[in-house]
Amino acid sequence: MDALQTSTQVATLLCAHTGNDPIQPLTQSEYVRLVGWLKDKGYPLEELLSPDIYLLLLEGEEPTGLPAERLKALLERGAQIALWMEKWSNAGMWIAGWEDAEYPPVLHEKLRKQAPVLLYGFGNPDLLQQGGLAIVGSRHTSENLLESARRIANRCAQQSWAVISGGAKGVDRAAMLGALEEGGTCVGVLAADLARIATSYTLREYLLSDKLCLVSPYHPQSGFTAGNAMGRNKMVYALAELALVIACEKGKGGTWAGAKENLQHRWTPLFVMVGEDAPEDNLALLELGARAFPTHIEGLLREQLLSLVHSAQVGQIALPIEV
Amino acid sequence: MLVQRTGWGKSIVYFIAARLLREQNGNKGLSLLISPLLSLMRNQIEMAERMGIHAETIHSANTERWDAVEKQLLGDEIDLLLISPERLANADFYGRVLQQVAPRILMLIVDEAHCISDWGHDFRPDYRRIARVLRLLPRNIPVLATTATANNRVVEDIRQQLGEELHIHRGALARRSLRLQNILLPSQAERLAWLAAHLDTLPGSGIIYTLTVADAERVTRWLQTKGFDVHPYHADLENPLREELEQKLLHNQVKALVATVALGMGFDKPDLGFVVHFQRPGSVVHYYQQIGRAGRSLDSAIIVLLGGEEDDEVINYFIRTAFPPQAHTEAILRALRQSPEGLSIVEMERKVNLSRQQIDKVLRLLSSETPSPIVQTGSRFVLAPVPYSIDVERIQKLTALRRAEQEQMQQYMQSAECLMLFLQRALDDPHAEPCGKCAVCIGNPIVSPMVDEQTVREAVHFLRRSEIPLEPRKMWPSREGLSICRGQGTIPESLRAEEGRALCLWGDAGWGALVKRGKYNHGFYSDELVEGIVDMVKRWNPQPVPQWVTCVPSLRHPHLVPDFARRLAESLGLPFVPCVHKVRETRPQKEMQNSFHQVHNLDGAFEVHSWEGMAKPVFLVDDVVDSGWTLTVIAVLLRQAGSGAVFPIALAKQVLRGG
Repeated sequence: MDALQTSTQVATLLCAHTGNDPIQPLTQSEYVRLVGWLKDKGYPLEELLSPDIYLLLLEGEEPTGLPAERLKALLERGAQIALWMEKWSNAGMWIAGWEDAEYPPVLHEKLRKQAPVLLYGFGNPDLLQQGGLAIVGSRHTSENLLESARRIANRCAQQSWAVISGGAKGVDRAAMLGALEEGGTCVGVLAADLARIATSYTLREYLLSDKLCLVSPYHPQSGFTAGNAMGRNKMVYALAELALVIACEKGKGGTWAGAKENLQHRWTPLFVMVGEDAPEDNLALLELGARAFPTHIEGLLREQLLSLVHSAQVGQIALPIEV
Repeated sequence: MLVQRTGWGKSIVYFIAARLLREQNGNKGLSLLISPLLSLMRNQIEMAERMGIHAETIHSANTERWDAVEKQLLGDEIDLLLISPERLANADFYGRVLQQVAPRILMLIVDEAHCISDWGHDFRPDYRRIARVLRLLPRNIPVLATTATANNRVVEDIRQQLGEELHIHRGALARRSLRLQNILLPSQAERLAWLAAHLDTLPGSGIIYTLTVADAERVTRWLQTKGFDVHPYHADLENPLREELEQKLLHNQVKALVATVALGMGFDKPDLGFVVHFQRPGSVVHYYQQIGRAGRSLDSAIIVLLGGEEDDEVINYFIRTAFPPQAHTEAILRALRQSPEGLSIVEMERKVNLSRQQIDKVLRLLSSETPSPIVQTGSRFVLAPVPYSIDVERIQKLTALRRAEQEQMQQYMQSAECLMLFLQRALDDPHAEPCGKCAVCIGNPIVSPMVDEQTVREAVHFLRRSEIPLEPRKMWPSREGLSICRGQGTIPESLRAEEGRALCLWGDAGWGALVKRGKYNHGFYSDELVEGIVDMVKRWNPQPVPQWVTCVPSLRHPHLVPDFARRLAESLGLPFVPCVHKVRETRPQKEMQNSFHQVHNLDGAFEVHSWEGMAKPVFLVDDVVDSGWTLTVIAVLLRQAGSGAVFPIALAKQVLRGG
């Protein structure tokens, strides 16, 4: 792996979690605050790597609320970060920061201050910039619904439309494999375990053939937490042109919370499965502004769904969204 | 990067830098020194202490100190931590210790930085990893790389790997105190005789370098029989012993250590009086490094290169085996492709017919690739999602370079110009000039090249008495898949072979050549070898005394070994009973690369026909022993059939190892 660009290097020093961090790395909002302050002062980010940085950090203590000692300690952990990063970067992992070409602009546009500071990924990063259909749903779903997810993903693949999935078990996995096995491309946005999943037997060939990109805002060996899952969901929606919920539980779990958050922020138009196989809870999303996924669609899925979205925007009243 | 001759004081540079950085940082944080060999570290820690710098080391051989050092690390009491590149790569050490202190690393120092280069002779895959880490370092962490032996090619390679920001400080390499001389003495016996005749005339204490472990042992034994206080030093010795030996040499309590490259880089004895090479090293870089240990604080030190007939054979072997054959790499990758869960090394041994060493070599090569097609998680290796094809061209280029280096050393051996000048030019030293001190410059030998015939005869005799113990195998390679082990992991003592003897090492200067001729040219082992073994048995005197002789059967050469064993039995005055029979053809055992496959290949291939006198102890004879499994398996079958103790005898043991 080549050297990181300086701004990304600074971001890793300040924000990367390594699984053993005696000094708490900056949170998203702390980082945003620091970068904002530096910009106001006219200091380039690279300045943070200069040897006599301490005075500048002291100056920023009050406006940013970030103790100079903590920032200094984070900025000095370069050896630790390099040692930690080397293993996985030599196994094909890349890291992208806000200013890197691999970083999809759509994340800035949609998520703004919530755009993840760092992306860790394996596989073809170009896939992040190609839009696609997000197919999401809970881990535990009926076989019929998994089959539906797979079938829709198959169809996306046949029509050269990318699939974006959360990479978890259940619907996510069915959609991912549904696209890949049909020769399509897929982006898996992971909430945990990036390294393990990227080296898994089934996915290796797809990563190698540039059909798959696995990406995560969390470090490659991080474990699963509900918070991580929500952060991951943001990215799934933000990267997609359109999203489809296969199944959710009303008021419960990540799928519901993620879909609701998406509707609130209007990151991407949302469809939801309805009909005899779909759980009744799905209907609750309709009340929040999702559209019913048509039971029969002829022709190109992407164009048909987009035209449904546009006609709704022209013909219908504003969606009932509570923010 | 600092390129300065040995003895220039490179370590002082990083001691002071480490100290200054820590002081600037409010006495917090430490510098990390990555250094390849333990011998170097012990010296450096002592030197640092003398300068008032608190240096510590953590390595595989000082586990008893780990807790104390870790406590000091966490208490921020250490200026400089020294670790080996292997330790840096060690997952457990990384998680438990390094990650705790890593946030506070103020500077990284890479000693013997030529190891980063592919082109350097001491290329180590773990140094590749260091280069990758350095490339990922932000610029607020200074890096200091040091070496004494880097020619232009190596420097360029390091620059390419570390980046254009590398500043290079380069000094003259000539060492004024060294007086060089080359002496060509083809046979080992002549060289042994030379050492015996002239070791006393060499000043102070020194090092005698050999190419292989076996040679270090043998030269030592010879010199000891001649009354010299010398000891062997190589990688097979336990660390505490090695440390003790280094101390003895440091304090001039021995005349010399007879060492392989294991007594290596940076061993710092300012008054080392001489360095003699019993065999010619593979490259000028290597040679210069080793002689650079002499005479650092002396006005004069003597450097003798003895060249002999076996040099090229040994070096060719090292070159040939430096990289794993493509087929080995492919076999491992294929096995990994077929294993969704990945493979541990033990599982690889079962899946592919490769030895542990061969597997290690492949894994090291693959891990050194950037990016690497394999990655280790816990004890298992899995394939990484990166495209990979074996870089045949790189391997060919490096092999060609090794050949060129070998050739350069051959030229050096014959050099008609100043020897120091030759070395400096070979190392691209811009300050090269004639030394005025070497045997070529003064036109006379510094040490007499003469050997007397009587001593040579003694040396020949000595070489013919250099039998090698054959240690009995105690464990089966696996409980499963082998019928002979009957579900047990350990070979019960009652079924084990006794310690045996091999007359010589395959191809060595004593009996080796005769055995080789017998096997490949004549298809007949001469009576001289029978006599050699009879003498050996007299010296050995195994107890309880064997009462009969049997041998390892072969379907491919049905007469070679039995015929020899019969003549041996006659000379020993014992009955020869060929009661071991081969009931199934096996593949040549030398094609079986690891223990599991070796035993599997033999499993069920032999039968023992009992006879009335078999309860007595027995000699089991074979010609060339490699892994020792054939002797082990037949010993078990003999014991099961009711024989007494089994004493293996072999004509030669197959072994060739550096380190």
